[in-house]
Amino acid sequence: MRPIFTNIQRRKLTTQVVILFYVLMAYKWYHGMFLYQMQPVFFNTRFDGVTWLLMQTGLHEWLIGNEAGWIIFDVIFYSLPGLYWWVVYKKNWSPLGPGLIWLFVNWIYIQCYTLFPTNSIEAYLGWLLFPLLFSFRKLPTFFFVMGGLRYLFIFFLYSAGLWKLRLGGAFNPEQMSGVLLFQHKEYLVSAPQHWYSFFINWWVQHKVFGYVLYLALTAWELLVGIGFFTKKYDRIIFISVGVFLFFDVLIMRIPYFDIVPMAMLLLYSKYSLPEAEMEKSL
Amino acid sequence: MFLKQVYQYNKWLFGAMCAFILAQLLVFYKGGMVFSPLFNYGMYAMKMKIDSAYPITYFPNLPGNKYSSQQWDKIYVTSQSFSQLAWNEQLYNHDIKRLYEKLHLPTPDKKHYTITLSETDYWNWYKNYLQATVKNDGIYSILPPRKAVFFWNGQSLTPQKN
Repeated sequence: MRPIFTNIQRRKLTTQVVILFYVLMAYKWYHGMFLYQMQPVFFNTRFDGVTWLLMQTGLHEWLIGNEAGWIIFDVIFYSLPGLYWWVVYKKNWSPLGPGLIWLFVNWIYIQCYTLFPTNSIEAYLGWLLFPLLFSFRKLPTFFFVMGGLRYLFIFFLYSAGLWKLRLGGAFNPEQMSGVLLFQHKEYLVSAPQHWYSFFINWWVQHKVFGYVLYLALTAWELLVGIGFFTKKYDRIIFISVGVFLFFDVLIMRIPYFDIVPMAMLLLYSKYSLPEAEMEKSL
Repeated sequence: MFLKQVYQYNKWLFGAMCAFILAQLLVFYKGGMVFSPLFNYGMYAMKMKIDSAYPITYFPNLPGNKYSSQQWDKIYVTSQSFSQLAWNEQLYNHDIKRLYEKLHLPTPDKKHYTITLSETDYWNWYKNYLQATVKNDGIYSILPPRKAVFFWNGQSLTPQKN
């Protein structure tokens, strides 16, 4: 018998996501990733139809070299999750209004922030969509949207494996060596005697081992696709995502921690909705 | 089945989810333009080989081991992004204008999609940015960066002799 999803679990998930947001906030501030620390003076337009619509407003241009604008944006973006939690769970407001405001702010901030160097928007998928989930008042709607986001996360990983087949990376024995040199070339020439340079050089030299590692990653991404058919392995997938993040930092120096809230949904797939809740909402 | 349960619960929600799934699959199938939050997640899927030469712009006095990956990105990705500003112009002329024309929408103003920043202005800004990033008072002594061509000699990246 599967455990029942109630408002207690809903509150638990929301609280965990909000806490995670602030942990990542501290991490970003420490590493100088707030907008006011990035001090953007130019932007790079991306191949994204929705971004093009937003760019018509000129909001990103307003932020160029605008110190006050950066601080206003940072303050609003980083205070909203806490405010949401406080008004919904301490003041008992309906989540709809605060959730939609949070959604609106996240979209504006993330769309602008990722137009400036050095972040890509894909990593922010969770922060673009979670406020939508938290806007729903009815428990079954929340439950099903949460389930839908879980499938999207499965697709996120699975499609990365499919892309490696489609674009040929998975069939190229030199792939990992090429990727590592592309990714670390500045590091390798600026600190050639450091242990990390030796470590990377070793992987580049030993193409077979590198290729096996790349194939293992591709195989893992494709195996995650099992999550489309069963939730039985969600906990294993969750742990494997942690392993993936660790190696992403170790081998690629890519901290992809913003996908963790999406991964957390795997821990909530064990729940089912009570029949009574379904009937009440129909 | 998940979608069946959603259908039984709320047909509007079911419709919205189906539309999202179809749109995401279309974006994946086309493999080009995306529409946030419908993205493609390649993660180094493109074929990459060991190049015969690596033209590298770097700061010899800023060794990689002293900086976090975020600081490292701020040092290098920022300059790479600056060198790609011409792409904005190309994207506007070839794709944005064409798409809006195709949809019979008024062509959006070019100024929203392109930006002009001279090399001098960029470097003046970058000096301060770099200083704030690496927190090094002697930063001015390491500018400008060194440019050299390297090649992979089978063990490490080595400067190419002219």
